[in-house]
Amino acid sequence: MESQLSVEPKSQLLSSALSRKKTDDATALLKRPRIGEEIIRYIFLFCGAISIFTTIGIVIVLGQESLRFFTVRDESGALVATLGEFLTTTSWQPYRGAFGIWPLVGATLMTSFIAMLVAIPVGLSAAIYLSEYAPQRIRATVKPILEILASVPTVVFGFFALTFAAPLIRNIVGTDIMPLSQAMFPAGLVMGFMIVPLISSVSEDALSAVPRALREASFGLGATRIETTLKVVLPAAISGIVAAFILGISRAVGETMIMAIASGAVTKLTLNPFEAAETMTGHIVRISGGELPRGGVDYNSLFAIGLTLFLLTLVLNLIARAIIARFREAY
Amino acid sequence: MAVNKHYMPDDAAFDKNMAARHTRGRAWQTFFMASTLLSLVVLIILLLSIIDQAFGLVAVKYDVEPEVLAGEGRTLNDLNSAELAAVLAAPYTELANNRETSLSDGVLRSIVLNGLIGTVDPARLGTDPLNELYDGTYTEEVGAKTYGELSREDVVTLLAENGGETELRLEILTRIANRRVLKGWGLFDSLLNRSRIQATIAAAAEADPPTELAGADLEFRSWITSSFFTESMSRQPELAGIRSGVIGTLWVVGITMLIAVPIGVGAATYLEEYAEDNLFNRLIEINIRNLAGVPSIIYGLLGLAIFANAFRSFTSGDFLEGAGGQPSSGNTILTASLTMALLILPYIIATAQEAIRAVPYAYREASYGLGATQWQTVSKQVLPSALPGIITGIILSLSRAIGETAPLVVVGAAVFLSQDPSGPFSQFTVLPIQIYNWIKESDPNFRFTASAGIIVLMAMALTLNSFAIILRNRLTRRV
Repeated sequence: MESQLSVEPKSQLLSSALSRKKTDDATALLKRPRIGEEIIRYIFLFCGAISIFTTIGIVIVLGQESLRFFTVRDESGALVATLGEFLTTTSWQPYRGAFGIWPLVGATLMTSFIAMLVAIPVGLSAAIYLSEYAPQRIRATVKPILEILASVPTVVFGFFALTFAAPLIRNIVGTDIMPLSQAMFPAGLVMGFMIVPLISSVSEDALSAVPRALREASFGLGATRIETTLKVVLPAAISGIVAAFILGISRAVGETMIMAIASGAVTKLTLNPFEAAETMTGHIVRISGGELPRGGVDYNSLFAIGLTLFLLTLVLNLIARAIIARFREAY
Repeated sequence: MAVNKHYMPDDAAFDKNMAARHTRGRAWQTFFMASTLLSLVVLIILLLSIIDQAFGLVAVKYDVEPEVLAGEGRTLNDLNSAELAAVLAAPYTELANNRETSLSDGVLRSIVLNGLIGTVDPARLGTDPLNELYDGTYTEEVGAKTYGELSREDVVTLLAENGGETELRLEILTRIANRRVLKGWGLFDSLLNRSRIQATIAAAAEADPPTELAGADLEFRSWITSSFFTESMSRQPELAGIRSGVIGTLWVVGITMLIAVPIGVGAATYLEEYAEDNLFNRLIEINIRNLAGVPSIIYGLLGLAIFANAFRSFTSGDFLEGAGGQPSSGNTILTASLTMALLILPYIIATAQEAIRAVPYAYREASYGLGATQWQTVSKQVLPSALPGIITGIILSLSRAIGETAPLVVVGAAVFLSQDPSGPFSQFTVLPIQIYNWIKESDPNFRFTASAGIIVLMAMALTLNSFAIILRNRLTRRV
């Protein structure tokens, strides 16, 4: 009875009880239209719908301006940039009319890759340590500190990458290998540490969701703690952990300030992480700093890059969500 | 029961195997612990490297020695107003480039404006005679002139007769003597290698020709000073301050919160209390989750296209003045706040939803049982009970909004502001963007200014975060 009560939607409960006595005064009370209640309901609905408007706005703005970018013609009537050129050529030099997205995408993927090389092992290890090994007292200290790391503004990480990590790495590898004071490697490295808290907190949630019984069964069979962790708990939590990795990658791809400050200001397609190369986000920030005339090629190109970035992160986020939904072990 | 010897190793092998398994376990455990420690170490290095660059030794030097300006073995303190005014107008030689120069008429007039007349409508400055703008000692002839017509001699007599000695001395020190920081060193360098730094300066004097550092004084400087908070932007690192950035941040974040908090809490209330489980409402839920994963710079592009350009007449404030006015720029505080509000909405909604969900269902039933309507239940029972959780979420998004940089660069933050942001329709900058601009400066001394700015920014963000964490921990303990 009690559970039924809580499932029954609120006001219908009242109405079903009262509907039997149609002549009762309470009926009049019930039937009184509550316009105020309805208005409030629609105000709240509008608040919720704003998120839909935001998404529609993003899609329309990115789509429309990108379309303009691919259809605008110069004085001679030729297209400034075509979709084919955008997707297949490998040089992004706006002042020379070269608009191939790959140098920007390449730098984005390279820095994200470097970041994940750091963030995945460190973040997952921290999650395992906190969830499986650490005594309560250490957990209570370390978790807030990781949250502090997560709350450091990214412009600060950028400054750190430029003034600390980059000179340090340049000293180690030498100026022959790293000729400029900016490079993808230090930027990616620092970004990796920025993402550690995200990966560790999402993975730790996944690990803690694994029921105690699984661990106890494993211990009961004589497994050591590490065997239980690696062979029982990790596989059981794998969907959450993979989702954490993908969320981390998506965060790395969209990260802006570290890249704008420390990754370099030249668009270049290169596999050498010690070279400077500009990411999609870094390029958007550099071009848009200052007054940008609306409708110019530079202005429109920002949205084409933005659309590429949006689609990339959207696909990553959808994959992460699908993995969580598909492979979640319900205990 | 018979035991198959293939499945059961003998004691020696068992012990060996067991020991190996435990060794492997300890190795992994050490690795996990070291990784956790590594991220903490990185955080500490990050903090230290920023503190390192916010304090330290600096080599400072006057462009012109004050004693040279005072002349005849006197110091500036011995001079009276008339003599000080004469010094301001007199030609002088800059030590650095050995170039004879003097303050321009315009600069001298601006000293009169700042020191004597004070703030006045710029339009009146061009048309009204001095005697209507300023009440002081001057001849009738001078009083009849407008500000722009004041000659060099007029300025000198005006300052000599009306200027305070302290103010004039300060003008000489900042405009002519100009004690500049030539080079700075980090805190740890300053503490550990002081003698080497002194040697550098000594060597500069002996070099042929002497380099810029020759004759510079070495002093310890904290780049966070009281004037760092009160000064606006400057081309000179040691004079630059965060005033316009902090004011801009307060405006932007304040308006952002005014927009985002009611909408965010409203949306969360709708989803938790009102929404039936249908396709549309599920779409809203999924959509909010996806929006949280959209890179912040995309919101910047959205704000640029929609708020700064499409809605320009609204965000620039032109709509208040009616049609026909000069169109102003849409890159305003309002544009920045609207963009930021969209950016943090998903976070506020998600945390508020969690807080509302945590309110026990019995509260609602009790309220309905007493005859309350749904709105009465929500406003008097559910939201008050969920308030601490909602506030925690708001504080966390506030701290995120304070540090957010990229979208605001994209919507068009001003690179250089001569006036403080003063309202929703003024040009803006925020603290993290000021820091970003300092990092990009070619003068290496701006690194120190940037560090000082970062310390202020982190202090703001960390205070808010610690507050939220404490609040949340107290809540979890209670429930």
